[in-house]
Parts: sequence; C-alpha cells; structure tokens
Amino acid sequence: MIRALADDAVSGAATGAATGAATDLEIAALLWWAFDGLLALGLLGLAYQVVAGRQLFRSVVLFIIYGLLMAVAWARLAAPDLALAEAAIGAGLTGALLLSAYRNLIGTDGEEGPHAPITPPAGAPPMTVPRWAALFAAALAGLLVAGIGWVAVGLQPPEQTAGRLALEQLAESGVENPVTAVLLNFRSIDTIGEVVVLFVAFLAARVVAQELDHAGPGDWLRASQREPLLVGPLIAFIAPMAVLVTGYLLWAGGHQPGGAFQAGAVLAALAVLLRLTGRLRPRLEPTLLERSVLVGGVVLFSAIGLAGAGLAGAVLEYPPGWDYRLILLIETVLTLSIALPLALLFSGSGGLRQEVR
Amino acid sequence: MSQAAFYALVAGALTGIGIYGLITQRHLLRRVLAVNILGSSVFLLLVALARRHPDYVDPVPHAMVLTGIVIAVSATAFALVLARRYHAATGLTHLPEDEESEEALAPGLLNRRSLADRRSGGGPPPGQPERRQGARRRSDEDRRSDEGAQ
Amino acid sequence: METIDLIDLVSIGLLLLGALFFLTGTVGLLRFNNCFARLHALTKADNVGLGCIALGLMLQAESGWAVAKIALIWALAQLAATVSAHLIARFSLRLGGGVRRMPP
Repeated sequence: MIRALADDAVSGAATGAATGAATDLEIAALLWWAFDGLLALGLLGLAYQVVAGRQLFRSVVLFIIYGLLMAVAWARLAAPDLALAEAAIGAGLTGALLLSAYRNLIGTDGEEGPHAPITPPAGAPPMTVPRWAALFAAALAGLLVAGIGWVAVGLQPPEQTAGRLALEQLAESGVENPVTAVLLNFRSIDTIGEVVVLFVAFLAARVVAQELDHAGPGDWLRASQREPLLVGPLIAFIAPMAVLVTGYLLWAGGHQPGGAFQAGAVLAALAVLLRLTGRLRPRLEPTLLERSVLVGGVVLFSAIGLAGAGLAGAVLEYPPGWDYRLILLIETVLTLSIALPLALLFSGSGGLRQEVR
Repeated sequence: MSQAAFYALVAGALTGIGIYGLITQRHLLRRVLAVNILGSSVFLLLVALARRHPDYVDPVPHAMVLTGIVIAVSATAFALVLARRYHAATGLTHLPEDEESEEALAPGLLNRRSLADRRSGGGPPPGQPERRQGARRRSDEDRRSDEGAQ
Repeated sequence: METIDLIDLVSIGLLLLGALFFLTGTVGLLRFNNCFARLHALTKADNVGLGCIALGLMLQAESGWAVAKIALIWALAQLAATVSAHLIARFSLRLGGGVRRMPP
C-alpha cells in the first residue's frame, strides 16, 4: 500500500495533480525528492573523498560504497538491470581488484613485523598543477556535462527514438526484457564488440604481467596456514548459492532485470572468492578448456550472426521463431565468456587450477 | 525541475570532481579511481537522459551503459595490472613526469637505471625502499610453491 | 487516504526501528576506538536492524515468493556479516590485540 502511494505520488507529481485531495501525494513526492537529494549529496561527498581523501585505503573502501550508492541511484532512475550490474561489477569486482592492487602497490607484507602500518600516509602528494588551474578545468568539464544534460532534458524529445522503436518491436525480439532485447537482438553488434574488448583486456593484461606476482592477489591463505574456522562453511553455502543465482539471473534476463552480464559477474565473484580462499590457484597457461571458454562467446555469437546472413537475410539477424532459443544459447555461453576473463583478470594469471585442501 | 534534470546536474558535478582528482592526484591508484568516477558520471548522464520521456523509459541507453560498465571494469583491471608492473619495475607509485624533484629532470634515466638494476639482480635502485627486496623474495617463494604444486 | 491499516503501521514501525539500530551501530563504529569494540557495535546493532527491516519489508511483499527471496537475502547477509566479522577479528587479534586504531 505504501508502494502504491509512492507510485501515485510519482505519477501525480509528473502530471501535476494540484487538487486539494492530493496533499498526501505531495508529501510523498516531497519525500522522494528528499531521498534523491540525500542520495545526490552522498554520491558527491563520497566522490570527493575518493579523489581527495587523506588516506588511500579509505578512498578505495569509499569507492566501493560509492558504487553501491550508484546502484541505488540507478534503481531510482528505473534502471534495475544497471543496478544489478553495478552492485556486482562496479562495486564488487572493481572493489576486489582495487583492494588487491592497493595491497600490492603499498606493499604490506609481513616483512616489517606485525605492527607495520596498514595505511602509510599516502595522502595528497605535492601537486604539479596549480590548484586554480585544476579547479578551473574541473568546473569547465562539470559545466559542460551538466549543460549537455540540462539542455538535452529540456529539449522536446523526438517522436521516433531508437528506444521507442525497440519497445514497439519488443514482441518480435523473442524476449520480454527490453534491455536484453537491445543487447542481444537489436544492437547485438555492440555486445560482440564488448566481449571482444573484455578478451583483449585479458590478453593485454597477460602480456604486461609476465609473472604471477605482477598481477593478482598474493596468497591470502598459504597451504601451511590453518584456515579460519568459518571460511569452510561459508564456501560450502555460498558456492552453490552463487551458481544458483547465476542460473536464475541468466534465465530471468528474458523477461525481467537480469541477463548474461549480471550472471557472469556473479560467477566471476564466486571465482574471486575461491581464489582468495585458496580453493583456486593461479597458473601461467590456460588449459584447452579455458581457452575455448575465453573465445567461445565471440565465436558462437559471430557464427550465429553470420549464419543469419544466409538464413534470415541479414547478418546478426535470427531466423524467425528461433529468437528466444538462440538468445538463451548465446547468453549462456556469454555468461561463461564474461565470467572467466573477469576472474582471470582478478587472479592475474593465465589459468586457474583447483586446489584440494 | 524533473528528476532527469536533477540527476543530469549531479552527473555534471561528479564529472567536475573526477576531473579535479585526475589532475591533482599523482598516485596511480587515485588516478584509476578518478577515471572510474568520471566514467560513472557519464553513465549517470546517459541513464538520466533515458528517463526524460514522460511515458516510457528508453532501454537503449541502459544497454549502452551496461556494456560500458563491463568495459570500465576491464579497463580498470588492465590499468591496475599496468600499475603493478610499473611498480614492480621501478618501485614508484606515480609517473615520472609528475616528479618535482631533480630526478624529474631526467625521468627516463631513473627508469632505465632501475630497470637495469632489476635485470642484473643488483641492489635496490635509488629511492626504492629496501623492503621491496623482501617482498620480491617472498613472492618468489610463493611462485615456486604454486608452480611446484601443479 | 485513510487506508493506512495495521499492517502498514507495524511495517513502518519495524522499518523505523531498523533504521534506529543502524544509526546506533554506525555511531558506535565511528565513536569506538578499537577494532573489537567497533565490530561489537557493528555486528550486534546492524544485524538486528537488518532483521527489523527485512521483517518490515516482508509484511509489504506481494507474494510468498517475494517473502522467501527477502528471507534468503537476509540469511546471506547474516552469513556474510558473521564470517567477515570473524575474519576481521582474527586478523586484528594477530596484529596485536586490536588496540591500535584501525582505519574505519
């Protein structure tokens, strides 16, 4: 009932319901504005702390919180797909990557004894650019983006946009979630390009980090060390749950928020967890299976897309009646092809191997 | 003011903060953070623009941003690997052109010297703390144990 | 709009109570000076707060499946909080009694 009231409030505020009976709605609209304002203040404050805070470690942690707040902002902007992806990738995986890089760059290994400072003063080093110049450039860029946004929002939106077309053609795409339809049917060329970028990032990282200790986390748990008591039960519960969530997100992507990206991110997060707790160990060279998973998404997607040229009349077009099945097949393979490079980028290795504890 | 316009203004402010951090900070990790903030501000602008139509939410910018998030994380991962390699080779956490001291006048010299030291197994390059050696040794052990257990 | 019935009232009460517990936990996190006291404040107060908020949301759920999903989320958050608190405390103990001021 509260939710219905809130929905009424939003639509009421949009249509300008200015009757006397609408005071409740106005109050609810006001509350939503207060929420948006608080969210914006939180985002801005966190962003400033992230780029200009005193301690680097604190900045990294605040960046993770910034990602979570950004996920809330996207939920507020009616983009639940993005909220899921941001929470899993933007806050989760990026946070793990940053923290492991922080540990490596700052170099807190037990060499200095247990009382070594975890966060050495990494604060503001002397600036090479005068502050006024930086402020000027920042204000200029900010005004530019805000101005673009302000003008674009104020313009009369065109009648026929790509988004409206996509929504009108939704029934023909084979899926009910418009974002999935755009990603895997109407604009699938972008998605192929994106998987290629991910793969190239993985290759580039392999070229740069030739040794295992140039990338990826150190061994948080050595084989010789006794594992903390609760880690085993955690893995025993989380691992099947993460696989279940992956499958659910993959399947749900057809008709509600979810899809290959979110599912792949959850699977990659599971791999990160296993890597951190020593269940998976780095290995320099990928196995044949890992190699085929790495390129599988691109190969399958391109093959189906090219087959569409013969069977459906255009490259990247699906034969009529086969849309849903083909999209589901591509999404399943894409999930693996997204999860593995992400996991390997975190692990900083070419492959992973299982460790029996 | 509509919700879309409000979030577009927030996106502008975030862009300003990101640019400011990118210019003023020297530490590599901070710069990666600033670039990430910058990217998320552009994402926020796109998603706010998707909300401007009164009767529907545009799915195309959502799909673009979803693609963008994955690309941002792969670029971040690559940047962090680069930073680590750079740190392992030179012991620095900022780029030599940002150096204000005398060494800044010949940044290439510093780099080459420390790289050469690394290769020849010599002592730590100037300006590099001794403990990096220890870190190096330990990770060598780790690597051996990793390789050996295969 | 006189439709605010008992369930809504209970739900609002639970949500506010949960928010209050979160506030308490956060104040504790900011004010206490060592790692264990902070963990104490955070884990105890926040878990109760999360429970209250989950219950309050369950009352508003539309179907049994939504209730089950919220319960699952609650269970996962509990598990993650337990294990991370355990790991932080263990690490802190090894560092030397946890009396040193940890970065918040």
